[in-house]
Amino acid sequence: MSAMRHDVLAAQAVVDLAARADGFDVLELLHDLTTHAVSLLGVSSAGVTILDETGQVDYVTASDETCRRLEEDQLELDEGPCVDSTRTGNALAPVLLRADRPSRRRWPRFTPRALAAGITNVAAVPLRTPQHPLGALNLLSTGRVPTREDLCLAQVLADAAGVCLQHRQTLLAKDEVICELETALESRIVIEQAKGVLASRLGIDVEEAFVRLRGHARSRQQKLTELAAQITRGSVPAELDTVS
Amino acid sequence: MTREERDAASGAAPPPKDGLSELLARAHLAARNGHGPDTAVPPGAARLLGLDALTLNMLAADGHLELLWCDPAEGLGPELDNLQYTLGDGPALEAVKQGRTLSEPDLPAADPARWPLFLPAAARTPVRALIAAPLRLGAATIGVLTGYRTAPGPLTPAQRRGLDRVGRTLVHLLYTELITSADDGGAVTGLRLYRAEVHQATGFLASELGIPMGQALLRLRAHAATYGHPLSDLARDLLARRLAPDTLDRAE
Repeated sequence: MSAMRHDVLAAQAVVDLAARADGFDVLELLHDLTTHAVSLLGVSSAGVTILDETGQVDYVTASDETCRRLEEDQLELDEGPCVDSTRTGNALAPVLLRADRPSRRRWPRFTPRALAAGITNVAAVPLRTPQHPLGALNLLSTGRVPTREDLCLAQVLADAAGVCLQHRQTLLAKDEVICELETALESRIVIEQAKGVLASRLGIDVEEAFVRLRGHARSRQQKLTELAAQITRGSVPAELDTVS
Repeated sequence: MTREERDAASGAAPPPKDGLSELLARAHLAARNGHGPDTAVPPGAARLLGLDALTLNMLAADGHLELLWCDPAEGLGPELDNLQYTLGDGPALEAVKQGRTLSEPDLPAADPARWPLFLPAAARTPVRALIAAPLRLGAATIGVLTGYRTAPGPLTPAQRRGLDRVGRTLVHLLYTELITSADDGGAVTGLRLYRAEVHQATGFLASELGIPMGQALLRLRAHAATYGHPLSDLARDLLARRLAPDTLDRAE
């Protein structure tokens, strides 16, 4: 089986989405995902919505303005293919939108808005990392209905972007961890320094200084590290600064 | 100090018979149960790698190295580490700066320019070979694991792999330890500031002389380096008021 031009373009799109330099722009990645989806899948437009853990919108983008407005409509109405796919974490097979019999519509409020924009068919695949659902990639068409193969390719493209987003999350988490580690270490050093400052000011030994530090922090429900930092900056609470 | 004395001092005699994997597995288990590197890694890791001492330093935000774990707990490891801290020179610092593993299999034959301050000081100890491996979290270097040996020669490939495994376990332990017990309340964790008395003396001296912490620490280090005293002894002398603070209140 020889590779068709379409296959080559699809492979290039996957690489383009999955392999981005550290510090890449998320919105740009998502926008590129929608552009690739439109050019490879024969749909008229594509949109992406990403929600955070609390269900708030993190990112919305689309291949064109009409689609972007429909993405936002779905969030506002809390219904639509993107909302469904995000919630279930599953792909949504193409749904034909009809103007008749509103009571039988899957999305009674979204459907008229989509139809008004000329969209007659919608489908969606979830956008996810290996661990978490993030959102969905919406495919909107005016005539042609995406095939099963189209949906498979859409999922591959979405997963490629998901890999990239996962990598970014890992990097961000590591930065936070390193920051936390450094802070924890610094806190311990500052506590030792504060013991020395108190020992000097009160003419006591460091063990006694620690007992007083801890006692003071506990009686005022102050964090020991905060009290210690305050002391090393030269401001010793008056109650702690007298020999008793 | 002879090897026997060092072993006696650390209370660690022979390495566990069950090998490195067992030792590391126990360390991971201990980390989950809330023990720090000091208690979580049973004594004997250095010996299992054919080394006489292993030290774990964490890189602080200001760029200095903080000694948090040694195997054995006393002797050659802390001694060589304190030398590097006092002098601001040596393999641990360089490995962190370069972000790659450095080794020196024959210290007496090493280029004197490599560590101009550390090498002459180390020559007065029994150390003959060393290896310093940066500890990484993602792309960032967060510390360094240094191994010392009193016999010359490089580590075998298996020993180097073992060193990497110990390093990864220690990163995991550090992470677990520091994150879970970051809050204070004086909760003493298994993590131990080996140079606690140096930081105490820093606060003490800063208060006595009315100078900033950073400058107080520099004066302590300069005094120790100038007179060839161990920094920890100097710190204890100051805190016990056996040494007048104004001894350090002049240009060195």
